[in-house]
Amino acid sequence: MEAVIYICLGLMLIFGILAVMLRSLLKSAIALAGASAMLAIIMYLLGSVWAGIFELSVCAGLITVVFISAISLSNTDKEDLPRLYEDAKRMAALPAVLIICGVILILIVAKTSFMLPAAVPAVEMADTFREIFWNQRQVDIWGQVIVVLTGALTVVALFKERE
Amino acid sequence: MEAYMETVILIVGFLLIVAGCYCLIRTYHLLKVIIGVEVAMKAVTMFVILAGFINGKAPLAQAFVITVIVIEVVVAVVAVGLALNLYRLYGNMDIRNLRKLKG
Amino acid sequence: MLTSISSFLGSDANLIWFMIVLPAVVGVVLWLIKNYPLRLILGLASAAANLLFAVSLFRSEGFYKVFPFAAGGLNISFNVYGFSSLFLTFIAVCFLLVILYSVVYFKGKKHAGLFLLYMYISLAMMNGAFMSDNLGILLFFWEGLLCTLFGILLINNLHHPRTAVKALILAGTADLLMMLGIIITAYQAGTLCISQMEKLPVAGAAAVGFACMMLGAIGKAGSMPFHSWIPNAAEDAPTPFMVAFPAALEKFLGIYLAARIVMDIYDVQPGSGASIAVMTIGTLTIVLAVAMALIQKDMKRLLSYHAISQVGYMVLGIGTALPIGIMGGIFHMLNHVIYKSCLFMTAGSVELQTGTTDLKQFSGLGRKMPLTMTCFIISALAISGVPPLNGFFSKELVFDAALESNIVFYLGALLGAFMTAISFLKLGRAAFGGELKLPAGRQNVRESGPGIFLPMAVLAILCVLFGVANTLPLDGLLGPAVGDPHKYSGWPHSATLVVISVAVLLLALVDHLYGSRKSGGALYAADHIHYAPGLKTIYDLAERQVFDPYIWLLQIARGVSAVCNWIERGIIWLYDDAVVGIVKGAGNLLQRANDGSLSRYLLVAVSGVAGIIALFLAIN
Repeated sequence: MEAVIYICLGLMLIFGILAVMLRSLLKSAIALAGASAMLAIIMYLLGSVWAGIFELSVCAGLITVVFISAISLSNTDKEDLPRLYEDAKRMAALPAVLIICGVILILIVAKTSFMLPAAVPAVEMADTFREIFWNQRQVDIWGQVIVVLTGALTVVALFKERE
Repeated sequence: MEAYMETVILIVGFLLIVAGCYCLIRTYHLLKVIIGVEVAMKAVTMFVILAGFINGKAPLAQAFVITVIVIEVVVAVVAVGLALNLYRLYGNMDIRNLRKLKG
Repeated sequence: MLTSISSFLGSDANLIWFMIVLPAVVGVVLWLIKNYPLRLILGLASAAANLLFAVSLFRSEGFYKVFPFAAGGLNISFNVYGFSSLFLTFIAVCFLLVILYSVVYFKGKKHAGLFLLYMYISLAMMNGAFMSDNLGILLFFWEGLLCTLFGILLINNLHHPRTAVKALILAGTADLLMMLGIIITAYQAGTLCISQMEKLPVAGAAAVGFACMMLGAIGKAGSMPFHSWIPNAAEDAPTPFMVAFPAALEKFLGIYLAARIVMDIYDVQPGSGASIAVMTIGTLTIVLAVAMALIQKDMKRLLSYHAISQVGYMVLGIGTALPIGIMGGIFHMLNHVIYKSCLFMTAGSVELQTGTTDLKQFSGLGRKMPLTMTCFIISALAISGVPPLNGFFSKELVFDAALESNIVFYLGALLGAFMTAISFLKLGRAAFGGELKLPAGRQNVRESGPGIFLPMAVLAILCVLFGVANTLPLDGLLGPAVGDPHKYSGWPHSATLVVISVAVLLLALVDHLYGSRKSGGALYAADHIHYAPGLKTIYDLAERQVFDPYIWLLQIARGVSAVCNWIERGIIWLYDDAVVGIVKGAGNLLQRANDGSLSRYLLVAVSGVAGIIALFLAIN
């Protein structure tokens, strides 16, 4: 199980870097979807089943669709990105930055011998996910409802037809 | 060597956040901004799940993550709407048009 | 009759009503009366009544009355005994003559009522000051005189009060010093009443108290360094003021207090540091003031500088702390009052007739005003110390005491006498001798009326009387008052001193004749001293007021105000320029950072969040 997690972690990182560095926006969006998929697998392997499902369907699906529609609506071509926005030049330093940060972090962890605590075996909790989500965290539910409604209204207002 | 995996997840998460912020700061394209935010959000959700996994309170963590994902989606949709409106106004997706906030 | 009056005064609070309140009320009444004969009668009657009260108090056994007034030992306590009642009598006599002179002088002139009001209030204050035993009450009356002094000097000069302000500041400073001295003395002695004090030794804090009180007392009398307003007053104030105040009344007050300080409050040993300091001040006053007097060409200014110089003799006498010196100082004060008042009265008489006292504008008045000239000659001889007039005897007593202390002081006093004689020879011959020259428009100069002439004559006769028959003042009045049983009357017992003094007078005569021949006329007889090589520069500086302590005070005040101005400008700069500049600068800095670029904003936001996270991690 751990090996799968490591593989997925690595893939997620690579997909993330690709999403940032690719010259074409379309390919960036697809890389983002790939990263979401990897994340969903990791979530499932770490025990959060429902979160994984949600992530897969929403982020890997919904956001990608929104992005692609936005790209087509804005007529952004594959060549525009590097030409007009000098994207490749500006993002070129990313690998170097990441490597440096990685090295620093590893050094810090090694020096301070910092370790996260080991995983506690899942307590057989009295409440299942269903009860926690719908009963204990009801405030969250209401917040989500309000946010979604707000988002919908915003989009409607933004795309109103001007006379 | 125990809990090795969690530390690796932690480090990868940090790297993803750095990548997302880097994209956010350096790009000139409106949609790339949204991509950068999304990448960083992925790392955040991963942290939350990791914390739930360690504590043993997985359901609670999932509740939080679901909330975060909903918000993430709504933000992305509204941002795309704004970007498209700006495209209509200026004719291109350059964030350098937005300098009227200066001063 | 005198005893019945004195016992009436001594009962209840009648001392306060009749010696202090009554003159003030009479003053107010005289201010309101405009009728000249009525004013003359009322003034003379009230002055005569005051004299009667004073004489009856003098002949009585003395009173000690206490009226509780306020807390802290501040009672109104009057000690009317020999010494103080003697002074009460002196000022009563002086006041009578001055009132007669001034009412006649002011006939037909403005502000007569105001002048009389201030004179009477001053009389009330002086009665209170002489009678009081409590130092705090004494201070109250002393300060009251400051107000009347200021008022009189404002009479003609409401729009240019420079002399009044100068006098107020100088006399006020002297009074402040005296207040400080009184506080220190009362603290050291533990009580405010003089009669309850034992004589304090002059050491440590008591020395400071002694110095302050002495400076305050002799400053009131007009000694240096509080002298520079008197010549200014000679130009600005009416002549009866000069007759009354700088000549007579202030001398009485100042020397009275100085004598009481040396006799009753402090135990000053002859030859001690305090004594030498006081004598030095006295000698300096004598020499410097008479040097200034030498060169004056205006009659009143010349006489005022001499008034300052004579105070030096009194201070020198009292400062020796020898019985002969104290007696000499007090007797000199009495004589000075007599002859200086007479001299100022002659100046006023000349001014009434010719309209000016500037010696360059008239001369040779002797033929037209013989009576005035006679009084002048007698008083001038008295002030120069010619035997057998009264000035000679008192000066001999002071010389004797000075010689016993130190020969330096004796030589200084002798130099003063020399220059006094020169200047009066010059003044007399310039004003009354030589050819007749009158200012334009005043061709019918004649002798003054009896109202002016009578006080002058009385004073001149007193000069002669106190000289020839000097047992009367010395042994009859002053001796018992001071409490000294030694007989000082008669000719001075040291013939050497007499010879030296007479020689100095003859030398002065010779010098005057030489000078007048050299410079062409009696008026310029002192010019060879004025324009002598070293002295000329000193005289020029003095004329430009470099030595005037008032000018020093003004410079200090100007300096202090400049410093305050600088500080204020600094604070205003801080508030108006510095703070505003900093805020605007910071604003500009931030404004340039806000260039509207999304990237930059995001960078700032992200790094801010990263910083906060790092802070959290570091704390934990």
